[in-house]
Amino acid sequence: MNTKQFSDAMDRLDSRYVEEAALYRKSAKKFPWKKWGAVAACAALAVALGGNLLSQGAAQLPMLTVPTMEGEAMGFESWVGYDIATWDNGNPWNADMDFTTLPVYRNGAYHSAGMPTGLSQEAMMERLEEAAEALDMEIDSPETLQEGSAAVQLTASAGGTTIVVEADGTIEVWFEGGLALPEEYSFTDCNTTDAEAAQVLDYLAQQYSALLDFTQPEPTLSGMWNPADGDGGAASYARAYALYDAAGDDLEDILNYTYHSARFYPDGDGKLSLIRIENSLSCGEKMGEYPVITVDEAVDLLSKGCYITSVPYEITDVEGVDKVELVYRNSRTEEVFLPYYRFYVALPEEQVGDGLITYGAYYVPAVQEDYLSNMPNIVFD
Amino acid sequence: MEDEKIIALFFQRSEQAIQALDEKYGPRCHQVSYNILNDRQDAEECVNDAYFGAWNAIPPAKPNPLLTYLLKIVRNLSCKRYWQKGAAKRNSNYTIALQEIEACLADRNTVEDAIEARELARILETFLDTLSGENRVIFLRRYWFSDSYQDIAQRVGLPEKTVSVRLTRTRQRMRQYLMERGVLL
Repeated sequence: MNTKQFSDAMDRLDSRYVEEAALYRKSAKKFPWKKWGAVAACAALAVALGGNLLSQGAAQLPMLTVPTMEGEAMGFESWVGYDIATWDNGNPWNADMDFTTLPVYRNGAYHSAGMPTGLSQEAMMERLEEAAEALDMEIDSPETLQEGSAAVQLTASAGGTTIVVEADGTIEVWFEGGLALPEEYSFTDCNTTDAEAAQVLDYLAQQYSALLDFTQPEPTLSGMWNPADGDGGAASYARAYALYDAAGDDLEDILNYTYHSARFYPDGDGKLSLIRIENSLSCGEKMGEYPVITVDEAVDLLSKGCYITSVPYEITDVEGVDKVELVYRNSRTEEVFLPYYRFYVALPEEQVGDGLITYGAYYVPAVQEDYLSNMPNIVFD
Repeated sequence: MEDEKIIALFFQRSEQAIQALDEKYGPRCHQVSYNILNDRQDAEECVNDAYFGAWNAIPPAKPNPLLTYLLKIVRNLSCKRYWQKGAAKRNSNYTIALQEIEACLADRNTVEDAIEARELARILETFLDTLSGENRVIFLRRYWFSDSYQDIAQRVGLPEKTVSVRLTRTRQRMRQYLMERGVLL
């Protein structure tokens, strides 16, 4: 076939294609995560799960198991700062959003040991080539990291830039020696103001628009205070630089905030060291839309010990809750992605000085108890 | 003026029919033709010929949607004129778009199989149905309308580089699709 034949065939396309393109104008709404995995037929899942279902009218929703959380060897999940009520971590959720149901996804990249898994080598290669194209890189055959018979990572380098694609859909771009940004941008861990961080994120969103492929990149300017080190160093604010695609509706934004985001890492000289793009739902499979509880109902459950946490302290007074937000957790070791209300509670037991306060994170499942096989009921020794 | 009223003018054989058509759809018709021919005069001639063709066809034809009907005539006439030009005079958005397609369609088969255009069109339609709406529009704007990357980017609200990457991916998918169906080897 030659190009004239192609053009002649295009001339004969049905009018509906021409009409669609003739009338199309940018829409504010986008459903980027519709291309992530397939919506699982609930009936098929019911068979796979041995029929452990709760009937919900015409739909049958599989029962969910809430994972346990254990304290990490190096500590527990917390936020340190002067007043968490003033902390804006960029979460698009707010208490005025009135969700009655929320989606739950099976994590197709689940691995008990956290190894990357999920995508085929072919799919990983496609992402690698797309990333190289977006960065104007000409790459040779990539190196493949195998785990048993499965490829878990592809790596390709050119001109001091290395692209790593992992089997759960994560893409990393490493810049050897760091990539200097234009002088007018401040890009540091601890010495960049909020306004400067917003500027540099705007620049990075433009520079890497093809790589990110976000319709509406939205910056999140989160960070945490590090207490003084006791050797004369003052407390410092460690900043994180991230973007997510905020082109969707409220739910899509919440999902993208967690599962389809990009993080940018500076080195010690203010150069761009690494871009890390997560796409955790690319292997995901929607299990269904689950009825959810309200914030007030979650507070009640919190008061009864119905939460999971890595914090080694029990909540004795819910009046001490300082912040609540709706979140999804994102980890390769979680079999199911379900929504939680995350509560931050000040921990007087953790004194860090300088007026800084440690807030521990406590999670109450947002899905109604009827759909949980194991409502948490934590017992502290 | 609504399309129904314009068509009514055609049915009445009113001289205002062409004027109404030109006022409503003239700029878009000229743009499609100019993207192919890169010559204002040639484009104007093709658009006028398209108006003449519409005048002869309506009635009895009652095209709906009218814009698409007209654009197809314009494109058909413009492409015919394009291919009549010598290769040295082919220098337009359409030329560059075809070069992109040529690289994609590189075929090991040395025999120029004359796949019937209508059959190929049906295959391309099924391919287009596999694309998201946005990617399908980007593809059509480039390879039917011959829009520039800048114009496409503005229309769909994406950066130019993103449009370029999207088109590269779509061409690759199309090539694979055509290979699986024996159109390419």
